[in-house]
Amino acid sequence: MLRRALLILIVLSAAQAFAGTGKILIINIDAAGTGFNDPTPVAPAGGNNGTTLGQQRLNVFLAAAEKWQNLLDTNVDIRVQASFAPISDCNVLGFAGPVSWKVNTDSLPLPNVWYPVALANKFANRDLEPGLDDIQVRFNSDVDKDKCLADTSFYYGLDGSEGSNIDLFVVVLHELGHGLGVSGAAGAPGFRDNLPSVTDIHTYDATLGLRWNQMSQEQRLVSVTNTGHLAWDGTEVRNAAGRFLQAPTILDVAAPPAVAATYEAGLASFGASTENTISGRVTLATDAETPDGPTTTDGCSAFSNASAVAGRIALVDRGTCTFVTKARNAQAAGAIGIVIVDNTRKDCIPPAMGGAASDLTIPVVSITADNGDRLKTQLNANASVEVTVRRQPGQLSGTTPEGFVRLFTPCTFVVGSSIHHWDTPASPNLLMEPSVNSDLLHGVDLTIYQLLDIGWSMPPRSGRRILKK
Amino acid sequence: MPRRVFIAVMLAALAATAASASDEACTRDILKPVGAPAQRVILDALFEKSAADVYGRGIEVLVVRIGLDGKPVLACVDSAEAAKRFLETPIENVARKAREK
Repeated sequence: MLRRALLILIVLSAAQAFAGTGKILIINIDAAGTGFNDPTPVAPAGGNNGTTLGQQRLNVFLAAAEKWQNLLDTNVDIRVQASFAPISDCNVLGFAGPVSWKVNTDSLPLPNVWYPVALANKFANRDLEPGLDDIQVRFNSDVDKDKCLADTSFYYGLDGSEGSNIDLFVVVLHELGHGLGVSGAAGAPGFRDNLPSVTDIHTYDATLGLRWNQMSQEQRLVSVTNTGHLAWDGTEVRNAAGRFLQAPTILDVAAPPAVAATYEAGLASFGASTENTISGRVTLATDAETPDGPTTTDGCSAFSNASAVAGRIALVDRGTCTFVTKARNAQAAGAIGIVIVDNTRKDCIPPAMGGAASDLTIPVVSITADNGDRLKTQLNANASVEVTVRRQPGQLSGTTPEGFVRLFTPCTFVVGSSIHHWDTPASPNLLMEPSVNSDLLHGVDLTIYQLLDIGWSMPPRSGRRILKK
Repeated sequence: MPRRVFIAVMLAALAATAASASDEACTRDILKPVGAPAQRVILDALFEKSAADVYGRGIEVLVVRIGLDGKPVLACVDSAEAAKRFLETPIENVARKAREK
């Protein structure tokens, strides 16, 4: 009996040890009366019972921190230096990142690789910089001021009912993801002291078949604009991707032969699902030049060639008015679907289209400007352009043909157009896409698996099987 | 004797479990505010590299525009160039409400 009792004690102790004792600590550095300590009275909203602006801000941070904390196994506290204070202009919501990076410290699994300090602490099983913070997060308190962002401000509810406001909970989840390691020790594609960050050794160029740590700086400079082919190479993400991503939507052009190909399509957050395949002839829609739509192909007013568009798939240009407006005009003209052509060539990725409209029943997709030009050339030559909008079975959206989840890699190089995000064609949208989309649920989807790939672990109690979208 | 040892061991085990449970409940700490009022930071300064840290810190910055439908459009970037590109690109997502005001 004594032996059995000792066994129970050992098992309980072991379980406790495995669960990890580390917590995510929100270190409020704001001065009295400001930021997290703002005493302005507010009404409780969306499950946030704070009665002051400062308390509601803090409650959101605590809830987001708890979400991550319940998924990460560490014995070392993670100190998040948090602040709500003025930042430049209203267009800057906030910033975040690891406070420091570590290389060749205690117990790091790989030599000569930079790790964010919170992860380095986990491996060392001690705080490598006692008393110093691990992650810095600061948000712009001016966003809540009248006229800063027109009528938009932060939403402090915890129920995802932000409407036209900014869901702070999702934004904090995203920023903490960066702080925990979805980041780099140097601006991409550079290396700090010629050593890769732990994310760099999972950054894979599917064209070259090489990871970034296997490339020269010159190769990485090319790789960072290799749109659609720069991806995350990690077992955890690859195994989990099918639980979070659906089949991609494509525009299959059957005729004329000169442009017959499969084009990547961007999705709208409104309109009919592309699960239902539609096929038809494409017609370039035209409308009057108006102040709300200064070109004849922007689809911003009622189509002047509605009879030609009826029963077909309308093609219009992006720009000036909302995607919803264009789709409404197409539907009113009797189109069975609408293709919106991007008006910028900087990304080479068909844009995802936000908006909401329960009255829209036709599918809405986008294509890149280059692909739009190909189709328009044929249409202007009176060729019959026949297309099908459908899902592509056997593949996942936002992945390479080889099955790697793509990283955000716009084709125009701008220093810091951050590859530390998933690519925008991923559907449903993911937490760590660069645009932090408004349709996100309050989960951490693939990001937790990305963190597992770089060395974090999950406590047994969280159970990976429950992590679904 | 074995029974006493058994009881003692089980009590210790229960105490350990209870400690673990209470530890889980205490999921976060908050320190008292210690800072002076924070200085306003400008966009370029967010990405400036100090002499001691020429590589920066891998900071990610969220910038926002308001779309024609009145909803925010966000972009997470890690350089001033990328931030300005997003903010200056003439897309349909310009602030109609701001313009009206």
